Amino acid sequence: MADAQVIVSGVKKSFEDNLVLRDVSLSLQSGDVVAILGPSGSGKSTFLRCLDYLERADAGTLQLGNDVYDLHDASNKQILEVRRRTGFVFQNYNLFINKTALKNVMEPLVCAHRVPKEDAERIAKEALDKVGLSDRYDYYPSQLSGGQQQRVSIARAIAVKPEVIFFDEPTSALDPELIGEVLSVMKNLANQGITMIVVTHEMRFARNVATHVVFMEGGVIVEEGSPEQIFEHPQQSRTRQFLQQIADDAAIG
Amino acid sequence: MEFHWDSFLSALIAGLHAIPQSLIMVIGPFFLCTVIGLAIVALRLFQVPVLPQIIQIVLTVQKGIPLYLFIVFGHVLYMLCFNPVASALHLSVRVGDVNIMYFAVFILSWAFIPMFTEMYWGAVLSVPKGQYEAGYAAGLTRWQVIHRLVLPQMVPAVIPNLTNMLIGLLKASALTYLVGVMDVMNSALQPVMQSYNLVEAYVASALIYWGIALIIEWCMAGCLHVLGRYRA
Amino acid sequence: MGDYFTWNGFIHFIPKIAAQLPMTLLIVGGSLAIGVLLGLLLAFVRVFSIPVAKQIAIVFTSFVRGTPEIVQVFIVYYGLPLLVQSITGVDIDALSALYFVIVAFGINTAGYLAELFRGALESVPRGQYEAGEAAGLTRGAIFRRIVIPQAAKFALPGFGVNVVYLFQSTSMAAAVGVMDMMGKAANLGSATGRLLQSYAAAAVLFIIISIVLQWAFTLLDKRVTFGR
Repeated sequence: MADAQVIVSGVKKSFEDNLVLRDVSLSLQSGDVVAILGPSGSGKSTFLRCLDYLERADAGTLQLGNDVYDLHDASNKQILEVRRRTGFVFQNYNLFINKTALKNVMEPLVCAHRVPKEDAERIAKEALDKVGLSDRYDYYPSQLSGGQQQRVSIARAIAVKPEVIFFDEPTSALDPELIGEVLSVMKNLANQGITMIVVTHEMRFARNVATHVVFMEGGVIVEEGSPEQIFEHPQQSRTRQFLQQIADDAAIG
Repeated sequence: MEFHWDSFLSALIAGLHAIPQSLIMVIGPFFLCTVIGLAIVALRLFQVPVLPQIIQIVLTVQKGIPLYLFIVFGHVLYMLCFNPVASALHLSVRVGDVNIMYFAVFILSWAFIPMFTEMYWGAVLSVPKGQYEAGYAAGLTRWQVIHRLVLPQMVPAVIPNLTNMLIGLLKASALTYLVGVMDVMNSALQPVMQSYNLVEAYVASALIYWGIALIIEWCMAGCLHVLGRYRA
Repeated sequence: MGDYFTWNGFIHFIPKIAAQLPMTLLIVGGSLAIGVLLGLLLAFVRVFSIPVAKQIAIVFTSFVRGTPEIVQVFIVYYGLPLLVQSITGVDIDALSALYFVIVAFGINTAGYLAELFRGALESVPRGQYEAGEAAGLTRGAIFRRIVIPQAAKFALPGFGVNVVYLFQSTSMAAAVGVMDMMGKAANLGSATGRLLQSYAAAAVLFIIISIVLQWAFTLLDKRVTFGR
């Protein structure tokens, strides 16, 4: 995998008259795991989606390694390039419904990276093994549980050896007992040094696995720092409020 | 009431021989309507300005015309306009030289385009947006997403309605006797013209149509079973 | 094309063809009456799984939906007199083609409505029956007061579609000489040598009335489901 850094600058986005992202910037080194926390409507998902051109930002740039991409004004060729250098894991998995788990993982390799079928199959099997699904190669998504589907989705993202993987609330759509299997796969990836940006509500993951935590609210980054800094010594009152709210909810539940 | 089995049998045999003609009028329009229907759906999907709306209005108006009227009206226009248009294009062909089957397939196709378009549009809408996003995020081009994900997923969604469409085309094809096509019904009538045992001929043709309809249903159910394996 | 079509003539034809609207509506009305009654019967036979009758209903529905309407019209038109004559000795051949057309379309509509009604009845959740029984209602009352009103709401959109389709199908009555709108158009057109004009006038009328019918059913559907 390329030894690259990821730098995001000045992302702005409005929907109609609604300013959803005001000016968001982020900087990562290779191997960093960034957890983005925040209340609903803070713009975290929109931010992530803008980085992969799933939403078109009004302004901002993304730098992968030495290449800079304009997030507003990009040619189709550039967009394809960014998407081929990154991986995206969706909240509701979005596995290709008409393809088996193996074929799902092979699809980006064969279509986007022009890997020959035999090699793609081998790589795909390795990726599925890594996420613990060696016995489910030929299962269709309709035959898999939510947790298994999400793991296939992660295998699909890692198989192409991306420079960074975007995770958009990867466990929010899962039943509680299935969350653990996905988080442990993500933890393994982190330990292997894969660069990840994760929008999540899972506080323990953010605390234990992330190398860097970002708190967003109202379309801006309110505070960022190491997990110790954010969780033990939050500087901003809004950050404190948010963390308190989470703790209170956890106490009731 | 006496049922003249000899008439029935000769009508049946004559009708069976005409099955290819009737099938052409099912399969031909199926292909034409699919090509044009998918094209119209593509125009809507890619949000081409103006054109889809105009087409929509034309189709809605057209749906108000009964098939019977559509066929005879179209035929009158065809007979009147063919020769002048051919001359204008410096072609030497005249309306009498052209097999009426071409017109029949053409007019049936045109009549069924609104329904095929709606059917394919419904099938496109049944593919979740997330499939597109996952495809694009994985680095697939738009065309790859369409032909590897969207089209295959449209197939099981379309099959039940397509079954009804094909049977609808089969039944519509019987009306082409009005323009002189020798389809199953028209052919079954020929042997009984002398004896006036018309009921026997109509019953024979009805049985043939029914048989073809059942075969179509059976085949489509089989297709659905095979092509829809991946569904829950 | 001045010889075949003039705007004046076209406008002139419209009221003449429209004058036959009552005839068309008569066919629609008669066919619907037969279709609804027979369709309900067939649906109930299917839903209640009455032996023998259910199999007959299945075969009948399959036949009616799988064969061209025009063939059904001809079978009834030519066959019914023969059938009636052999059973009762009465000769109904001279009877207006209108009656035969109504019978034919009635039977045809029944086949489609039977499927529609069956689907609607089966869409009513089991829980409704159970709640009714728990409340102490008789089977008959449950049906009358709870199940049928709900099934009717499910069936309304499809029923509207069938009515519009029936309205358009009646144009086939012209094939056996009925003087409905289509018949009048054909007649007028060949008498004056201006088929294009008369067909165009008929087309306009059919389009307008179809749109009005669809609109009426959409309105009705909205009012009926307002309470959901």
